[in-house]
Amino acid sequence: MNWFAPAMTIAGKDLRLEWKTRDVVASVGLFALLVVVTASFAFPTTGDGREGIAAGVLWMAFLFAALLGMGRTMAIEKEDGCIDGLLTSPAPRESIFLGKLFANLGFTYAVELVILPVFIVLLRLDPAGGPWLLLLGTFMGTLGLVTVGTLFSAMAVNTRGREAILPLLVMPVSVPVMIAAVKVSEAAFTGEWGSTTAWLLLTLAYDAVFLLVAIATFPSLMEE
Amino acid sequence: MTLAKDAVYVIAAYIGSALLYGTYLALLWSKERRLERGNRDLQPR
Amino acid sequence: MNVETDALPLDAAVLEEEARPLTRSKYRRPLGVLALVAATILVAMAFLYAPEDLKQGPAQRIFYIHVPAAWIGFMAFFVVFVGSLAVLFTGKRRWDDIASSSAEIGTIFTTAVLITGPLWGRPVWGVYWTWDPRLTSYLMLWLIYLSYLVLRGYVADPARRAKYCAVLGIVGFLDVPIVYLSVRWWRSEHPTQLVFERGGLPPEMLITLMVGLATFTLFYAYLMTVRVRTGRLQEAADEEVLS
Repeated sequence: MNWFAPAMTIAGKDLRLEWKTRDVVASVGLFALLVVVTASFAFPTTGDGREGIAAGVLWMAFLFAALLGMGRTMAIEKEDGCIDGLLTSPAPRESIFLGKLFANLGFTYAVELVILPVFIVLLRLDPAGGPWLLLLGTFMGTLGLVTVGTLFSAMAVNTRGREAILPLLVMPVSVPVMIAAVKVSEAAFTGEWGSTTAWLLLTLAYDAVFLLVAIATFPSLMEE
Repeated sequence: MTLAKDAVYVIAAYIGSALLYGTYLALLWSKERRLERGNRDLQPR
Repeated sequence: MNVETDALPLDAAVLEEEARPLTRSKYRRPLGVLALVAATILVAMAFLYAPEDLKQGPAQRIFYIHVPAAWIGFMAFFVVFVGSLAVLFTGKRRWDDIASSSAEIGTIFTTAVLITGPLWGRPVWGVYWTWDPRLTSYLMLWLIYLSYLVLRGYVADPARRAKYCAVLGIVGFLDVPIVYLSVRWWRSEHPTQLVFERGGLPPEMLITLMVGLATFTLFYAYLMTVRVRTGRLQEAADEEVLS
C-alpha cells in the first residue's frame, strides 16, 4: 500500500522532532502523572469495586493526555506552516493522516507505558487478569481514541478557538471506546474475564470503522 | 402517587414541549422576517 | 491510487455556487397547516381517545409526544448524515444547508426528548434518569448535535465550515449505534436497568402514536422549509457584507 511509506516518513519526522525537543511528551506526560496522583487522593484505595473506579481514573487520565497531545502536535504543525509543505508534496492526503496518526500514537503510547506502572503502584493494584490484557486493552482503546482525535484535531486547529474545541468534539464520539477500554482494564485488574471478549470486539469494531472513516474523509479537510 | 400529582407531570411535559417548539418557531420566524427586510448583520454568523 | 488530484469538486476552495432559491418553499404553507391540524388532533386523541394505562396511570400519556420526538430526533440526524455525505461527495452548498438545518432542528427535538423522558420517568418509575441504553444514547446524540452546532459557530469560512461539519456529521451518526451497543452491554452487567414494557399496545394507543409520528414528521418538514431558507438568507447577507 503506497500510503504507508510516506506515512512512515511523516511520522518519522514528527517523532524525530519530538525526540529532540521533547516538547509534547514532557508536558503531556507530566499532565497525565498529575491527573493520576490527584485522582489517587480522591479515590478509595481499598474496598469493593475499586478496580472499576481505578480503571475509570486511568482512562480519564489517558483521555485528557491524548487530547492535550493531539492538540499540541497539530498546533505545532500549523504554527510552523508545515501543513502547506506537506500538501504541496506528492504525498497522498491519506498518508498525511496516517503519518499524524502514527506520530500521535507514538507519543500517547510512550506516555501511557510510563503512566501504567506508576498507576499500578500508586493505587496498589494487582493486574491479576494478566498484564497482557491490560496492554492489549490500552493499545486498542488508545488507537480508537487517537484516530478520532487526530481527525478532529485537523479541524479544531483551524477554528477560532484553536485546539480548545478538540475535547468537545472528541468526547461524545469516543464514549463507546472509553467504556470498552475501562471495562477491559477493569477485567485486567480484577482477573474476572466476564464479557471482556465482547468489549475487545467492540473496540476492534470501533477502531476499524473510524479508521476507515477518517482515512476517507481526511482528504476533504485538507483544502486551502 | 395520586392522580392529580401525576397529571402535573403530563401537563408539564405537554406545555413544556409546546413552549420549546413554539419558542424555536418564533425565533425562526423573527429571524426570517429580519433577513427578508434586508437587515445586515455586521457580524457574519 | 490517487489519479484524481485537483479535479474532484472536493478540492475546490469554494463550494460550488448554484442558484439556491431564496423564496419561500411552496410546500411550506400546506405543511404548516397540516402540522397544526395534526397536532390538534394528536392532543385530543392523547387525552380523550387513548385509554389510560392501567399500570402507569395518566403520566403514560407523555408517551405520545416523547416517542415521536425521539423518532424525529434520530431521523433528523440521519438527514444530517446523508447531507454530510453529499457535501463531501458533490461539493454542493445546498447539502450543507440541509445538513445544518436538520442538525439545529434535530437538537430541538432531542432536547424535548430529554425533557419529556424524565417527566415521564419520575411519576411512573420513580426516577428522573437512568443510564439505560436508550436514554444514554439519546444523551450522547444530543451532545454530538451540540458539538456540531458549536463547531458551526467556530468556523468562519463557509466552504470549510461545510466540510468540517460534514465530517463531524458522518462520524457522529456512525457513532450513535455503537454507543447504544456499548451502553447496553455495560448496563446488562448491572441488572438495575429499567425495562420498558414493550408488550402489545392497545390499538387506540397505537393509532394515537401513529398520529403522533405523522404530526412530528410534518412539523419537522415544515421547520426544515423555514430553516433552510433562513440559513440561505443569512449566508446571502453575510456575503454582501464581505463583498
